[in-house]
Amino acid sequence: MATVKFLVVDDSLTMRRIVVNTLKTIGYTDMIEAGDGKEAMAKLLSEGADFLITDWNMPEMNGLELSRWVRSAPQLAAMPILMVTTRGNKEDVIEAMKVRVSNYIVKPFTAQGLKDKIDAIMKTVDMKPA
Amino acid sequence: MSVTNVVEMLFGLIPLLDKVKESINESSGAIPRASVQLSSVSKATEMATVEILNVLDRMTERIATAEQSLETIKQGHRGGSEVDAAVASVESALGETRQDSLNIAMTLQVQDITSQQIAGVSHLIESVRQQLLNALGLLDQKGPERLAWPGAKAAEQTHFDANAIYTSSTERQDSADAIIKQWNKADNE
Repeated sequence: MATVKFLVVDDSLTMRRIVVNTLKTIGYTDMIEAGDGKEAMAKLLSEGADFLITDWNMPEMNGLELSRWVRSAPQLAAMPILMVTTRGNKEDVIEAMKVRVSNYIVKPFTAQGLKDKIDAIMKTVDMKPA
Repeated sequence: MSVTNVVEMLFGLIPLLDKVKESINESSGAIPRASVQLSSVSKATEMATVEILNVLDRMTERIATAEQSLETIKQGHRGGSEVDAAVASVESALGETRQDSLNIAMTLQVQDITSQQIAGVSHLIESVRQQLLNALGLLDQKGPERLAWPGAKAAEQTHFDANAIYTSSTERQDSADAIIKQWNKADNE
């Protein structure tokens, strides 16, 4: 069983549940959650995580700002970031890539789609997928 | 046109302007109620969705228990085509039920997407309300005072994607993947 620790960030309780349940189905067991970017920052500093899955549109601090902060924090900069969002415009994807997110999923997604993206990211950072 | 005609026309305009003002007042007063109702729709659907997810979790746990029991039966069983066929059939049914419950859970993403669409509509009608009140302010100079209501600030602060779409098409994901591929290629060169 893989021991990668995920931080799932979304202001929608429904979406957090769906992502966490999908991760469990794929075979992961270690997940923590946050409802916005600020809460995610606090959890990353206090509890840590290996892999960030974040929504874009959130109150307090959005997913893009959170990703920018992660990339600028020396101890977190290499962390894989998967953006999961309803925003599917070309400009949005480019903006996310400029912040150096590792990959991008447009909602609604499938379980297989999420797994494929996680596996692909893990391959590039030498992590072992479930 | 004589001066008398102009004065008569102006006097005729006053009740008309009063009616316009009254109409704007009524319309703008109804908008906060509509925003509150839309917000309660989102909250209710989120609560119902979480309930469904809870039920699906319990179903998944029961499927796992049934699969374990089936494994025990298989290990203790010494063969026999009828029993083997029955076990295989139950295994297949459990697997399909597990997949169906996962599919239901994934479909519930519609709740997040429709909530964002509803937030977009709330934001839009709040903009219309402010425009109406601005117009009303021109008529009676009290408009700006009416701008403040608790929901207005909430509508402004809501974070949403007004263009969120629930679709089974992979077109948007394919397009995002193509951009990322191109980006990574350029990055490596």
